[in-house]
Amino acid sequence: MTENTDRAPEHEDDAARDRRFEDEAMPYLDQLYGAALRMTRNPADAEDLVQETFAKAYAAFHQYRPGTNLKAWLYRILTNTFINTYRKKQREPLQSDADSVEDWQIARAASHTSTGLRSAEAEALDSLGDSEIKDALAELPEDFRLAVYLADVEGFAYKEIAEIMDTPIGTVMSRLHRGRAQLRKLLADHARSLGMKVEKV
Amino acid sequence: MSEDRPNTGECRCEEALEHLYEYVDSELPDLDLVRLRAHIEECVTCLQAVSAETELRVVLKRSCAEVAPDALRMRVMTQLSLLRTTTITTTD
Repeated sequence: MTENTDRAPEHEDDAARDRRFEDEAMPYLDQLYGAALRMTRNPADAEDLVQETFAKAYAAFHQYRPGTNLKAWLYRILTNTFINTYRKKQREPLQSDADSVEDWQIARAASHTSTGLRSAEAEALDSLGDSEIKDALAELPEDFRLAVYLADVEGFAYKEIAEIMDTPIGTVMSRLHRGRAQLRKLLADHARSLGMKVEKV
Repeated sequence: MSEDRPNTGECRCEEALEHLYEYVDSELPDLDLVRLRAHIEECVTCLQAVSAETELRVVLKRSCAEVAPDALRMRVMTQLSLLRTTTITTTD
């Protein structure tokens, strides 16, 4: 009696799994490279980081459960690899331990009126070039930058970001709040100085 | 500025702006979401804050869109076929 079990992922052969990895993971190359660029802030390290991420993902692909969120799984490997390899290299001080969730909640309650960008500043955003936006993002402390990127650019849910960054949801919300506030301040400063230049002409 | 309603349990600017990110991030529990939305849709200040947040995300996404260099794509593909060969020889 022949049993056709090789359709089930746990029984698929190596060749089929390789094909599935290529079909499903390779389409994320551009996105992972974009994230790696924001993490490392330089193209050479970003390329190495992405290559290492794919090697690790390939080696661990048998652990990935089909039907679950592959993108989040890949981002988790990317983030772990970055933290273990490049954070040490770049010697950036850790920000996360300084920001307790309680502090952030107090700050949020106190600053609710200044949270949003004013509409004039929001309009001026359009006049900022891509490189100015990326420079502002690069100025954020690493943990804040990563949380903002994962939420605002990649659209991950808080729960997914918590898993990717291996941190409680409260910390994710705290990092997002602080990171976004800093980013808005940087962008508003840029936009304002740009606006002043335009007025003078 | 928007008119804050008397304290009837309805959502006001203070609360809406405090939870602005969770609102835009679609991370609010259903009950709060309904209350905040009811306020935001009626309030110019809060509506502007929401659209400014949304607009910033559009700008961020646009600015951060990258295409991986062909050389990287080649490196990754080459690496995968090397890893594959290694796996096959070790399982033999």
